[in-house]
Amino acid sequence: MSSKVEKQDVLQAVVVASFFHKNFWPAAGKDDSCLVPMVNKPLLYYTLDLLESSGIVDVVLFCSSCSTDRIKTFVRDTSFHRLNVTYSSSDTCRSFGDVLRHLDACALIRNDFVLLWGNVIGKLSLLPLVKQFKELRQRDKGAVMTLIYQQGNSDTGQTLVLSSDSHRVLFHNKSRGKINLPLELVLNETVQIRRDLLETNIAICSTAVPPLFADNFDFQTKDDFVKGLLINEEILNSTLYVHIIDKGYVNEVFDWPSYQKASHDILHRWSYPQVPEIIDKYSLRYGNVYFGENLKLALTCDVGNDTVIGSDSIFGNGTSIFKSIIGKNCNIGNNVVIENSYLFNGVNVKDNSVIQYSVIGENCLIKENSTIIDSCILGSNVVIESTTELKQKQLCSSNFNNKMIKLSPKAYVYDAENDSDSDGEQETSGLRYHKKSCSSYSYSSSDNDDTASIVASIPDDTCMFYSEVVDSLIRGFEDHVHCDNLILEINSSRYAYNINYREANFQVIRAMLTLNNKAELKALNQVRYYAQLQSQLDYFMPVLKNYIKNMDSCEDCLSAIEDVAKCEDMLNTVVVKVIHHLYDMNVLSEESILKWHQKDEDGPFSKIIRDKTSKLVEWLKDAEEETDSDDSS
Amino acid sequence: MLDIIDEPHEMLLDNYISNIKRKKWENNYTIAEETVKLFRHFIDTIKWSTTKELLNQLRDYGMKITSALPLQFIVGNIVRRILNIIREEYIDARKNTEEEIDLQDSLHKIVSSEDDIDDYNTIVPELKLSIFEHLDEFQVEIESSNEDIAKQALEHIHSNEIILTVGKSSEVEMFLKKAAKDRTFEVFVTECAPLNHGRQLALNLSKHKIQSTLIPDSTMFGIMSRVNKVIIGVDSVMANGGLRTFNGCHAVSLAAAHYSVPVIVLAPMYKLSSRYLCSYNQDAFNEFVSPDGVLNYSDSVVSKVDVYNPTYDYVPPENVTLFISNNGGHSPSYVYRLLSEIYHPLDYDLSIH
Amino acid sequence: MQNWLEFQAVVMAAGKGSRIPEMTATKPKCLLPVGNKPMIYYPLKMLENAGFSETKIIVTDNYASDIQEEVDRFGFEMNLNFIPIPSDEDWGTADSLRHIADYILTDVIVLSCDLITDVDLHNVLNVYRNNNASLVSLYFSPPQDDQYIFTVPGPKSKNKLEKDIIGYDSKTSRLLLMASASDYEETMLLSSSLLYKCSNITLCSQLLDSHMYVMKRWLVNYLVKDKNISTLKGELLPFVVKKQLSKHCKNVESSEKFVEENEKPDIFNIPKESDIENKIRSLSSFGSMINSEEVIKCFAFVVNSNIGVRANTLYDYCRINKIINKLNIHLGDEKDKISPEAKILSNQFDRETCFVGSNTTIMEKTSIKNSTIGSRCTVNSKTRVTDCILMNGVIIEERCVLQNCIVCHDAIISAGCDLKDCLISGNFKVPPGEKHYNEVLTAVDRLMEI
Repeated sequence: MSSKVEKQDVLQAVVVASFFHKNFWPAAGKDDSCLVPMVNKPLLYYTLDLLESSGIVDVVLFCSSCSTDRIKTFVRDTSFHRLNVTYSSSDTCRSFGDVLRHLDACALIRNDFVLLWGNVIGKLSLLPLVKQFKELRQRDKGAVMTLIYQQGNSDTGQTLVLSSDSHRVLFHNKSRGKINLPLELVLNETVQIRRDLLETNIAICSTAVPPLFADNFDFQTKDDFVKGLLINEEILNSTLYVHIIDKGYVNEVFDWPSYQKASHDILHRWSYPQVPEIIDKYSLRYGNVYFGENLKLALTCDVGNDTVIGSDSIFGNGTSIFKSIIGKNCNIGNNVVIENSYLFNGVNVKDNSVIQYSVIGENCLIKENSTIIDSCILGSNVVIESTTELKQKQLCSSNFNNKMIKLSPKAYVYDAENDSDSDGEQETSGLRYHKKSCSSYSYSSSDNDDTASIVASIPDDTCMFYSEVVDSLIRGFEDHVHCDNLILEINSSRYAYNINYREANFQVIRAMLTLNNKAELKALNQVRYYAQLQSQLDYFMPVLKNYIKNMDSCEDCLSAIEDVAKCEDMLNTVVVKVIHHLYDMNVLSEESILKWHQKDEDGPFSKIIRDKTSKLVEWLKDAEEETDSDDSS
Repeated sequence: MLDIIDEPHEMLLDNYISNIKRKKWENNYTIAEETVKLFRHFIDTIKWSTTKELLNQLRDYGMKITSALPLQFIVGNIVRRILNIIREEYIDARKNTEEEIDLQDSLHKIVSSEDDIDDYNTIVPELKLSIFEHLDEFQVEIESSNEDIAKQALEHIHSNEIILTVGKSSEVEMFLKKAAKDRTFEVFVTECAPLNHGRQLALNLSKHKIQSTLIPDSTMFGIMSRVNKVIIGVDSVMANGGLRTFNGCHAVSLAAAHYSVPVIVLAPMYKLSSRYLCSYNQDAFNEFVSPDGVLNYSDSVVSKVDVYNPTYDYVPPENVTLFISNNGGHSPSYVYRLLSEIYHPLDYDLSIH
Repeated sequence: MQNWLEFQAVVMAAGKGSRIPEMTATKPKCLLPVGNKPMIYYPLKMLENAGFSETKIIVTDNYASDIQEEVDRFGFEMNLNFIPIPSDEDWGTADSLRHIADYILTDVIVLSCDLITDVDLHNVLNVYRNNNASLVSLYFSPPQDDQYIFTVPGPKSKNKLEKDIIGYDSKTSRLLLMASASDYEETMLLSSSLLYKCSNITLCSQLLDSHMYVMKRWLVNYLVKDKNISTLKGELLPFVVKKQLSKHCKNVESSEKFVEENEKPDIFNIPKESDIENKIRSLSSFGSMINSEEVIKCFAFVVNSNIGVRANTLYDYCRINKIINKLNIHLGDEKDKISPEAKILSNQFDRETCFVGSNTTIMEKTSIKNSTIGSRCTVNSKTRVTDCILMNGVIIEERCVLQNCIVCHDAIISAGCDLKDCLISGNFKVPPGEKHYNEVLTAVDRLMEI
């Protein structure tokens, strides 16, 4: 019968409903993070809705054993009749990799499947993508996974290098700084370096994926998997591809900022048809305001834009709500201010309270005159007494792990400092919707990547050259290396870094003046410092003479001296002597010193140094006049 | 299509609602057909002895689906139509024993005639059969509505005329194709952003050797002075004669009014709705879809901008010149009369029993 | 009469042809014939077609008169200024540009004499104008189909072509990275400022750099100040491209002046816009907001559909000779292809694929296919010439068989030679009866020079 043939083609989806992070705690536990209400519907609903509307029927849902019941009840209650859900649960899984190993052991997966987490929102038609994947596998036998990314608009901090034609993944890096790309990738084909791809964590996998996880025990997260496959390409013989969604919207919710962004997008209807009035009973008003049914809003109540009010809620006089999502059966008193917050079902807020940028869990009670602002997260059933002020705290209704500070009978504050169990990275990113952190990652931090140099725009080469010269000179001075050899060394460094002539002069002089490190400098007083400096300069005289030959290089030398003196106080005090000494040794010519002195620099420091050297210049001028007069006579 | 054989009614209703919500059944024609099928099945399987019971049950179901799909007017239309069919059949069956009221009588007479057929409680044999017959006729009417409208094409389109249409409507397409068999004329099609379905219409027309030009929405006013007629299709016709149609049509109708160009609306009877637009806030009237068509999500201004993408426009009846339905042409002021012919006033509100 | 000049054109014809030393020993590279016209004809023709009325041509002083003579023969309508540079000093392209900097008053297009292409110059200039670019560079995508797989005359040599790595944004055509493969060993370091600047960079190592650059005048001014830069492609361009990413790249007055590299001019100080230009920009609503603040903007124009060849290697030189009549270049009338002053007595002469210059005699009983024969040549009877390039003044004696050879000017192939895949250098006489395969035949002393 035809049903047999169809069984082969049936597409499976694997939904991992256990997230292995505590980002939503205490509003949702570790294991049922997927049931966190997003616009008053659990997150898992959106994922299953996405699967159902794509036409996928067979779903394998993985959850940890403690939350299996809750999830089962939830799925039964919703109207996903056409989904055929198989539950798989385990107690021992601690990471994404463990889940896939478990699934491999259970042998539930029969052919190509769609792998996603239970926190995906949006609309995506998966069947054409799976078809493309199948065709891809025919072309490239080793193709293992197609990762799906959403086209973002700015730097997302994740670097992906793809081949331009086939969108094959060649390189992957999650750090923000510079990257080291293997050269052969670029020489083989045209590549694209993409930093604007948003992770959706949806992947279309072949049946080879669970065994790969089973074979490699160190694959814990998907990133490990990707990295592992890229590094061991020859051994594992598997390739990864990428599909980029340009039109349409898919988003992943894994912490509060992404939660905030996703609910913002849903209210702005980017995830149509996963919008409140279609998935639940709301009516849409102007300004993205969604009203549930049976609401009792007082006359003077002010509902601002981007708000959702769940059914059966009651609002008192003078209350203002702005950019918030209020759950069902909430009872809000008079003169309450709720802004940018998320209140789950059954919350009771008494008069004159202020809630901003916070999440209030289910069935909480907040008594009069309380202020809960700045990223507070309240678990369920918390009771806040009147006139309490909370900022940046996480609260539970009962003493969760016996290490919490008691605020009131039903409110315990999680104390991050005293909890020795907590992981280092436990800080939840708050709800304050920071302006894209990328913008603060401005050019200043990009300069930090270069070695700290006094002048910000010196390229790396020059710094390396400088440090090499310093090394050569220090070694040369200590080992009494012949100056010709030093000149050779410096020249070879110069060619290696392609430093031009004048730059090289400048750096060499700078290096010569900064041979002593900080510790030594502190030990010397001025006289001894000058004595040592002079001995060094004398030792390096042939080197100096080799580089400082003409007017231009004299200028370089003087600007180098000025440059170094700006930063080093010791040199600052003796700078006149140094210049004089160099003049005496015929390294610097009079005209060059005079010219340098006359140069009109407008930094404060240069004025200082010129004042100091003015005496010397005067003396020079007199000497010059004498010689002139001698000549003329 | 649904496997309607054995499933309980609740399931059927849920499936039906989710199919429409997920846009599996996109156009009004499909929705109308499926609704008729569904209700035919209900009439078949509901245990009823009196018409009143049947009517109440159907009103219940109708209430469910219209409240679940408040923006699909066509659902309500079909439900009310079917209820009216049942009432008519009942009256006819009863009347077979009595003399018939001549429906050609004046309005006054009809209004003042006795409403003694108020309760539908008497058991009438053979009612189911006659209902099914009438339903079949209704189905045929829906199927052939486009052709019936197209038959009137030659009366309205003359040679060497320039016709403007908006977006892609199946009624308009058939209408123009029929007229093109005998007359030569030119068609301007506006693109109808952001879905741009006007392109498909222009392509189809040109394949039929009709000279068509695709123009962007913004240039519509510029050529309006040269246009002889504007012919548009609709999603629904409101009870006051106003239209719920493609976005951009309101501007077209205003431009046509400015240049005194007649606006002809092609609307089969099943698109006639008993609802009025009461507020320009349009929250229960218009469907706002994803802003994806207007602005790309990957655009950097997305977070700072509120984007609205409405699907429909409301055109007030003053701007419409003529309705062409499968029964012929009507003026907008006649719509109320048509309403009274196809719907029963008791059915306007499905919630009261 | 007002002559509003937008661009000035400079053609660099002083190249020594260091990659084809066998052919350029006695003749300058720009005069090597392609399709029976000297190579330099093609860029000049392209400039003339684009509407230029004046061009400056940089030549070495020892060949200046030869080049001038040959070019004048074509009667260009453009005004051609030949500017000699000393041939004994090793002047790079940037040095040459610095030399004529006083004559450059507007934005400048720099072309190399060996560029032969059918690309429309206006497209390149439009990219320049649209974006108010500081620099636009033209690149060719590698050809998809290479029908001409042929062996290169001369000894087999490893094609050690230096690969350039170009990084650009495919949507905005912004040029972000210009480097050579030899700059890196195993890994390529991409700085975070580069990655931040553009989120979608395409890196390609197979693009051909056409050496056509459109530059703003202030770049020339910068060249004048910074005397260390000697070549355009090797030094100036990577430097400018890299400076795009730097912190200074905003049109903002920085209050603190770094006293860096005292005499090395800060490149950002040079293209300072005047106040009025600033005001115009702030009032205008056109142009992307990001771009208008930046001072240095480099763009890459990547062409897929046109053919572009730089005839500076043996492979490319042969290739362009084979496909020259397929290109969309106006080659003159049909009579230019086969000169009417040539005496062709051969009956096996393939008119379609051959070029013959003037004053050439081709005797009977010869078979000429797919070849380019210059002027003043003599091909005696009983010879077969296939796939060859014969430059001016070549004499081929009887009973020779030449296949896939390049015979440079004034060479003599004595009777009975059988030469396949060979390169015979200028003024050389091949002794009779020789058979050579895959060799370079040249005078011994000439070898020393190479």
